[in-house]
Amino acid sequence: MQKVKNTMESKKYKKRFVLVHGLCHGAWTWYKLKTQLEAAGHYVTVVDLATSGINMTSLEEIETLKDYCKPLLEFLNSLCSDDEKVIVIAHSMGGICAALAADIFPCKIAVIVFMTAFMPDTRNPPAYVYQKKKESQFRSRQIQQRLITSFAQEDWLDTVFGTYGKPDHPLEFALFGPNFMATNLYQLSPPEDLELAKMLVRVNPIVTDNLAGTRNFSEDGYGSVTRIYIVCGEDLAIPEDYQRWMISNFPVKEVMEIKDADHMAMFSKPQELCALLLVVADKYA
Amino acid sequence: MSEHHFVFVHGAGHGGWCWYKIANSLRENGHKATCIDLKGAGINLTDPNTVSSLDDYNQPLNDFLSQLPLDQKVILVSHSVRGGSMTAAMCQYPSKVSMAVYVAAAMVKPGTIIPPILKEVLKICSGMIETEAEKIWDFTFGNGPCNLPTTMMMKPEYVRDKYYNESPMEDYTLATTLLRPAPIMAFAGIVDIPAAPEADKIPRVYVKTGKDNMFQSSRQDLMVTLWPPAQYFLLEESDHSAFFSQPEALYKILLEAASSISP
Repeated sequence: MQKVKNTMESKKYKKRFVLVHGLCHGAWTWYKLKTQLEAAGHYVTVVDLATSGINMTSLEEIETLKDYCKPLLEFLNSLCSDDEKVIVIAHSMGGICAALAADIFPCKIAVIVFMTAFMPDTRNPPAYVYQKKKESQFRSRQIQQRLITSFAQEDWLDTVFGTYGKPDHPLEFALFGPNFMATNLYQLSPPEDLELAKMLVRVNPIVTDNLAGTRNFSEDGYGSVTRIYIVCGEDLAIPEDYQRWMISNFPVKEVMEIKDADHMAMFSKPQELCALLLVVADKYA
Repeated sequence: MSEHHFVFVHGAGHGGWCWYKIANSLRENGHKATCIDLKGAGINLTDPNTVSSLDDYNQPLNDFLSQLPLDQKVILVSHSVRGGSMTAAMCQYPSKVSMAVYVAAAMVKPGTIIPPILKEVLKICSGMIETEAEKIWDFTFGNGPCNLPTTMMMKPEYVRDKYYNESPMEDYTLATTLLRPAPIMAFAGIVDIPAAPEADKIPRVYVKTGKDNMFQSSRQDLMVTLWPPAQYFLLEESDHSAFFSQPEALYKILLEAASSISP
């Protein structure tokens, strides 16, 4: 009896994490976190979204947000109703992909963790939080008096932007430049991880209204899934103020924080990130 | 310290990414490092099933070398069976290469008889896939089932033991997200590289890997005997992927080897 009970308990303990990368990145982004979560006894699935990592879909084939998220959606679709619900961890623009996945498969997801990620609401179009970041201007009135502005084109440094698709329905793409990555994404991460990233970032579609459509995510779908936010305190790409604005715009179950993390917390603070995710797994899955 | 320019050629299934630690160390210390993705590897978008020959596969490396300014030379560093790609490039662009480093790599003198170590690869190229090979490798038949296979990829359950037995788990995990099928047509060409006297003059370095489960010790020794290099180093604790299992030691070897030539 004891043996059966132990097996059942360990089966219940082992969770499945699904890690969703951000713009221009890929499944490779998660190599440290995946290793740590697996060492802690969990299952981890990492996906390359379309035209990311070693996924060979071409940019031109991506006409909708669903096209971009296809590998993630296909994975979730493959899960049976017997399978336990998964814990989705989303980074940066991957947050919008996680929201789409939750809108389609709310019953397969126990919780979404937005790690310095764009977190849509259920009132506005999917691209709203990303587009608002581009257009808005924030002032920080805290002691450091750091002026947080929108990223005007020059602030993106050597990042390349462009359009593709049909003239009457233009879509946008971006490719992070090495200087931008060093200054605004990886400034607190190990230099070797920046070197790795420089070799692997690829042109990716940006989430716009044209890509994602203007129909908001639903209350019954995405709106019904538990959400956690992990704030990364030293993120220069999505500043803390903006992360907290998104939280106030669409409140979450719990806010966690990694104070000294840059945008790429999976590189700059992998152990702290893993520790928080193990707490999430315990509490919410 | 004088600045050298190292150009890295990855092994089958891998990409420029595998050299990231070495590249970082070199750049932090004032050297240049270029990590090429050969065709169908890393984030090169070519379908590996369509790579038709060694030359086709090598195109990114050849393009890079052909575009180097006249007064510049590089140190080539290769891994595993793609030592053959490096040898071919040396023969085509001897004036651009100041040194060639073979890290657990196929080092065969152009125009000579192929040693037994490459026999398995040759058999696969001629369509004779033995049971042993089928056990370890997955093949795709991009030209139809009646033609030669077009790619081969190691089955996941063998990857850690064959490639990364002494490497950190993190690097093994990284590799599992990035390994791609290797184009078989790219292997065929390495046995046909014609003799090249100019390439013979390029100083070669061999780095042997002591705990290599992919490329056995005796086979590495045989290659060194058949085409003795100018310098030889042994990484006793290294598995097949020295860039992961012994990055600091490999980095130091590269610097030591390079110190014998001017940048």
